[in-house]
Amino acid sequence: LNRFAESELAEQFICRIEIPSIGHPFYFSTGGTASSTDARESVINPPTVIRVFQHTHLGRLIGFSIVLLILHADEWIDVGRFDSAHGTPHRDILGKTKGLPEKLWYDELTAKQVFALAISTFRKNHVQISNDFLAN
Amino acid sequence: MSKSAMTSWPTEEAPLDGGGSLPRPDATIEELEQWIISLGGRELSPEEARDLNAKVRWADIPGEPAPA
Repeated sequence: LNRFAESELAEQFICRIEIPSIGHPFYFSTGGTASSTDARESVINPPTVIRVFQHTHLGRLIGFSIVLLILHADEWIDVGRFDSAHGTPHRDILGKTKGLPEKLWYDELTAKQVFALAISTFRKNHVQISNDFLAN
Repeated sequence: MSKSAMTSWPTEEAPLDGGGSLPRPDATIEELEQWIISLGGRELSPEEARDLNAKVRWADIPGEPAPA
């Protein structure tokens, strides 16, 4: 009964943070080598949002995912992610071709610190992160 | 993989101060939500969240479910 009662107190908060267009070019690779300029076919400035998912229980943060999304061809692409899976807050660095080339673990930070760091990092570096994703 | 292994991978992380005002480490959940809203965040209704999730091509990360 207690477990049931407590589960009712769990709350989920899903939010999107729009990142206003700031005129940075994005390069969508259409083939060739990742670093080849010739492989870049189009220069666009896609809509970009940060999707924030926060799972709380009794006022405590028990899980989260912060995802950087860009819109391309009517589809949102997950280009970077911080989350609390595996029991430790971490960052999944993503690549269009390489998939998951790197995981960064934040053993020394609390979940709340990584949660805020994720939003701050994506707001500040979304252009670089998106281009790194597309090039890798 | 350790952080030292990432030297060849281009990343540019924000400093811990975020270059702006971060909530303090012991911020409450309500304070975190207010901070997000102050950054332009908008809470999604369940329908909006479903619509957005349905349009996302989630990265396939071994051992982790998609965040949908």
